[in-house]
Amino acid sequence: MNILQDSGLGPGKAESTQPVLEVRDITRVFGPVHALRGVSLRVRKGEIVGLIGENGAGKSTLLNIISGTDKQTSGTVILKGAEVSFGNYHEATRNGVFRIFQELALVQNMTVWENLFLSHEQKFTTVGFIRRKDGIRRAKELLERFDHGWIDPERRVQDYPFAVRQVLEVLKAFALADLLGQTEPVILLDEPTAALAADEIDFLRDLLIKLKGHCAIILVSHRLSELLEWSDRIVIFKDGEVVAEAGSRELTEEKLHYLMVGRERDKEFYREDRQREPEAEPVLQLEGFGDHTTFRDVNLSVLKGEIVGVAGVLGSGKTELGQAVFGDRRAHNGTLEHHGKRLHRWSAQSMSRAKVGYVPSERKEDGLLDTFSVAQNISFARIVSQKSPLLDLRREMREAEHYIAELGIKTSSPRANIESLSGGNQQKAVLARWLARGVDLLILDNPTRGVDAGAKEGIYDLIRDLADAGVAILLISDDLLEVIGLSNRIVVMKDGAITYRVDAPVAAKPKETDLVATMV
Amino acid sequence: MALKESIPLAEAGREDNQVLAFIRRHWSTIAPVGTLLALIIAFSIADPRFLQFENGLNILRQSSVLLVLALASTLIILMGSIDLSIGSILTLTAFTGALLARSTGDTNVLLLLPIIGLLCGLFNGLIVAYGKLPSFLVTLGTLYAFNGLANYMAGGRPIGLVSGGVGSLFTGAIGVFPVVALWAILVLLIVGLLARYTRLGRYLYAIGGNEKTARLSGVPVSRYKVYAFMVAGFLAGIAGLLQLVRANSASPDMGDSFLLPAIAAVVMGGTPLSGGLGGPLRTVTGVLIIAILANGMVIAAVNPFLQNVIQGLVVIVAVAITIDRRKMSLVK
Repeated sequence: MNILQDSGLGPGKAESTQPVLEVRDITRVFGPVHALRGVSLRVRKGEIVGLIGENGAGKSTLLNIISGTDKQTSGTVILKGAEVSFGNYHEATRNGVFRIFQELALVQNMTVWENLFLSHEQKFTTVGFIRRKDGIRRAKELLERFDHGWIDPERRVQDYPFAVRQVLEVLKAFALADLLGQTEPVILLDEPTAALAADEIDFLRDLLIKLKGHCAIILVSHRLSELLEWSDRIVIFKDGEVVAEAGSRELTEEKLHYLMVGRERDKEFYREDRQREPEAEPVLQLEGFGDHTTFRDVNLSVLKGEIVGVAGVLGSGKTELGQAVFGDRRAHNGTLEHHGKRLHRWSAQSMSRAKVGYVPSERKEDGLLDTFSVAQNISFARIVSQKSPLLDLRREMREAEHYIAELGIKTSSPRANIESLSGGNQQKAVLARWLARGVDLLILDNPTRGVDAGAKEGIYDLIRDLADAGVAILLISDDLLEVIGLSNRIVVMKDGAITYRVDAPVAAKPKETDLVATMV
Repeated sequence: MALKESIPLAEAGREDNQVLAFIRRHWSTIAPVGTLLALIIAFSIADPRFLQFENGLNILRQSSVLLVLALASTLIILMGSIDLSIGSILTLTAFTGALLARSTGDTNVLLLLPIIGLLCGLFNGLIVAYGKLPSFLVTLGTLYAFNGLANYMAGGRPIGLVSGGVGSLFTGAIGVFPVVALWAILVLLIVGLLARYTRLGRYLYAIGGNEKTARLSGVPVSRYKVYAFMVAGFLAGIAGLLQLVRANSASPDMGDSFLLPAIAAVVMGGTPLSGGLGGPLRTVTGVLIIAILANGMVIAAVNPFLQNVIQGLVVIVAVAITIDRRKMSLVK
């Protein structure tokens, strides 16, 4: 199983017994939500510790706390035997904690060596001027040490392909560790392979083999096989807690599935008694639908009053599918029919006019009108669709009061700024926007992300109400229980294609573990 | 109370601190109006002539054209963009008006000036919206282009305005009240209604607040950007008309001195450069601060060079106390 064992990766013995990094009993509370609950963890030099868990299980929050970009509510972080609390990421790096971000954090138009030492140039300056030659030489030495001497330190980062840039980002951590005299750096790798192709993953793996003896690594990944192969130990997160920790030799993919998920689904929470039979009339039909890059060959239909769930890991193409149906992304292949009528060109504008609504997964970036009041957020899509160019502000206020009462949106006034509301209430207002407009197809991408349990129930009620009213719903979500609990039918996407379809009638809901097994 | 817990802003104000909470909530209105009042009080103490009725009319006359131009600027800034060419549109329309009036023999053609401004705005808008270029650069370019065109047509010399025709409708006074101010107030009324009661107005706020959400809600964002620049051009054309009639001639660069005060007035009034907040009524406060400061310093006989220094500092201070730093960002 572990073909790599001899070459240095995989379960092996750690060099020293004293942990480089230890977190003890960390708890992080966001309002009513416990993102982390009493999490403890230790990493030694020469060791790779894998973290796994569903989205929202708390992995990123833990990395944020370790790298100084977030603060724990209680608990301690101990680095090389001393308790630390970093105020920001820069401070963390000066103490030897480096994080490789999911999005590349390199400055594309700067050269390799400039990037490697960015923000720490003062280590080789003469009266404020950077000694260029020095920097280039150090960069060259480093690249050669890890067998990447072929990378030219004086070329711009953007000239190199994605996988090389990812490698550079990892090497940057070592460049800085060297520069700062850190002999035992802690490297946090957050989904380093999410955007890499198979051969590129090998490229990164080779690098990790070389690095392993020099540092302590925490690796977050959704790819189970990779996690099992690369890590010495694996820590499994669920709902902000560590539910299991084991040497990766003792684990299998099946075992991991079981530990990761296996939550008890509360039928009442998802209003399963309210699940209804859809009508025979299809509202949305996709055939051979694809966009060349992120998803392909999608055949899918959503009937009137039906909830169709789409599951899949990050990068499976499910979010992009939703964007393409709504016209926020070009689809190049296949056909889309709305009410049996084939559309040839469509955009967010024409879809919204055709009574299709879309709730994006990034509420803050894409969903909210953050300078608007609650009332203005609720009325917006209706105003866009109305014929008259004039606004009826009294109607807007009545409409807002109606939805605030009906959805139980907690706000001091309809005129209050939307940002003064909690995440769950903001999301209800975003949903109310499409209710006020009146839609017959609603695409929901992670409608309850970052929402507390109480508001979730409110949103589930609302989704059931919509289905009762004959709205066809495409529910894209990272929360498997939500997908299982709410949907009439479920499709699972993996690497851009639908790999699994299953009916989810009330009496025979599929199991979370079954779905996960087809996702990874 | 459960309700209060979910509202962080409400938490900021404790029971014993309600006055402070009120001030904090309405700070973006209180700050500019407070600045304005402080100036009025300071100048009244410095020189009693400042408070005379006659001087009040002076201030109205002096601030009218600036107000119209600042309103044009407000609409664009609400959208999170900027229009640096409105001053040049003023110059271009004024020159065109003076030349056309000279060839037709009366001033009736001046009614065309807003339309010429609108065409300039259309040009700006098409490039910004469909060329997907930053408004700052596009209008920086047209600032020079429109100015150059005006000077080219006029041969770089001032041109006097012929008399006769509708031009007289825009100058003089009704009783004691300056007509130019009446026009500016009419424009203010219309722009105020446009911002608050029309879909165009609502879209400007939405695009400035979050363009992506606006698009995902079905707003044809590009088209409305063009509309906004057209309206701004139209208003700049009106400003050109008013200034031409007021000065009774068109001179090179006559619009230049208006551009930066117009933008400063918008921001001082409480419409941030990032857009989405504020509006035309706020801009009135900003315009009055600038006009009263200029007028008051002349009355108080401040050295003319020092006047510029003080004006510049007041802009910085006013913006510093008005602006909501959370909403600060670069011009889109």
